[in-house]
Amino acid sequence: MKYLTPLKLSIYGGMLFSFFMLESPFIMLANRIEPMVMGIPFLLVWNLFWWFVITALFLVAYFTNWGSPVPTTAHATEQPSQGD
Amino acid sequence: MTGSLLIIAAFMIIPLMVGILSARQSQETSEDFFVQGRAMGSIAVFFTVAATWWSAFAFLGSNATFYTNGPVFLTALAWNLLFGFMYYWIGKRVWFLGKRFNYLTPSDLIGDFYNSEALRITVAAITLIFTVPYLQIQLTGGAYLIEVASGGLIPFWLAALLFYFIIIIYVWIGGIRAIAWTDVIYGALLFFGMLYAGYYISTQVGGPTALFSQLQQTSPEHLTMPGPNGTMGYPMWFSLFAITTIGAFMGPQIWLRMYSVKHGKLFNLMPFLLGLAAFAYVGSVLSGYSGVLLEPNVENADQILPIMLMEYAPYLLASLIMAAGASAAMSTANSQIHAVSTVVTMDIYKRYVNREASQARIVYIGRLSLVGFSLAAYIMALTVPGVLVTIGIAALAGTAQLVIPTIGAITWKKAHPTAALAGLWAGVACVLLMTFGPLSAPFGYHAGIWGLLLNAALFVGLSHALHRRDTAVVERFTQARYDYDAEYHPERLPAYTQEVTSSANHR
Repeated sequence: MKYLTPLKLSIYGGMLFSFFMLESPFIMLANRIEPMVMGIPFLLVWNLFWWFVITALFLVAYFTNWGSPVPTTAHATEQPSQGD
Repeated sequence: MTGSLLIIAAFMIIPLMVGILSARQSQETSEDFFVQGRAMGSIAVFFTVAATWWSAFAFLGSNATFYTNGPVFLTALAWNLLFGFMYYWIGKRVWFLGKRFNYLTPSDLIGDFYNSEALRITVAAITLIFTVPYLQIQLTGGAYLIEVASGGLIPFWLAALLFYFIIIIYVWIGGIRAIAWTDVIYGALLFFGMLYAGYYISTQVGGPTALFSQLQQTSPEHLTMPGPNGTMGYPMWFSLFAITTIGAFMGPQIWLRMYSVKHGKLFNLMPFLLGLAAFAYVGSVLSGYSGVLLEPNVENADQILPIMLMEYAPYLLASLIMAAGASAAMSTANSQIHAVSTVVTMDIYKRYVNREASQARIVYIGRLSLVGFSLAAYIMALTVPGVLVTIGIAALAGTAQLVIPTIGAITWKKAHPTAALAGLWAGVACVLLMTFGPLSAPFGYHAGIWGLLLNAALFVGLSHALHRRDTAVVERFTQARYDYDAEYHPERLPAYTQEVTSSANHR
């Protein structure tokens, strides 16, 4: 876990959680018409909500370089011998 | 009628002009023809990736699925997001390696990392065999729309022929550069067409809110899984999500759109742009569901949108939206034809027929391949019947198998060629046997999911059991991955960890 900066962890964690809400069997709990929100069936609202969350996270990720620090020339450019 | 024919003519001629104009910047080198000299800018990249990824499958297949099978196609919102994420996470690494080692095709990267001719040939064969049926459905969908939009004046065979004629001309002249710029037009037409078609047709039943309310009264099973036929439950929800995304992403046409990018930073933005564009699927929700109320007895569901447009929209508007649908097909077809011709030229001709071929000769063979594959797809479109989504998913399940060795190549030094080969063969065999053979896919998940699981299990298991002896190749890639981290993810480097630790201690 040494690769994960706190920001990176938050971004990726948020995305993972949101995808889980959309694509795990958990989606079947939202598989209903009622309660309708502004006349829209709940399943559609659920999908639109998590779509919005992930899209917003992608925007945050873009502005924060996906949680990675900006590289400097100080870092090594040759791999250590043990690799991996 | 004259107005519609003018729209169709404009739809054919404008992209042709754009393609020809953009081709004026072309150079007669293979790198320029196939990947635009790896210098494609942000606008062209976004539109060409999005328009290539969104196909007739999205424009017609989505409406058809909402119409016949209920909400399962809503998973498209998530699969667009996953596609965007993969473009960032996998695409950026593929781009980096492509730039460093001068790759042009999927086989170049996979064959080079695994150092295996058998694997190189297998990857080329998979990309060719599974791309052609997907190409065929683009032609079928697009030509059908032109036929309807012209009121039958342009028959299916002629519409399909015109389609390919136009594509061949501008791709012949300008290669991927011409495709990218025509895709800007196609992409814009496609997204607005999808959204506006949905909104307009839903107004025929009183608008979106009234649509859902009426549907709840008359056909509530359309609003929840497993849909009215009872077949599209969670397994298909997940299968569509995984197979469509991975399969399309691993298509050679998307690989070329990873190699072509000019700056690595663009990959950081693409997930957001591609995710945002997915909102256009709301248009398909409205169109497909409106069809349930307005035209409940259409036999071929792929025709529901054109039928409703002809019935309920003014003729010119209907023609314009159908031209947008044809854009979806054309923008994918042009990229696929170009991509398969790249694979034939570089992976077969250049590697096995004429290694010393000049740049001009390579480009010429690429152009001839364009014509050959167009002809094959044209004949298939006229002779092979099928529902867009069904054929599309089967083809995508095949190309999806490439993701396992690709992830291995970009992240794992222990990844072994024998493991990659065994996994690929097993995965593809599984897809074919469960789709066309005697086996049936268990628990309702698509054959492609089982293929991926088998592929991954063999790949990981055999890679752990076997050891690579070609250390020079492994080290070359390890260094390349290290350099990638140094440039884009310094937190992964030991030097950075030490730096952070020492500054924390200092404080």
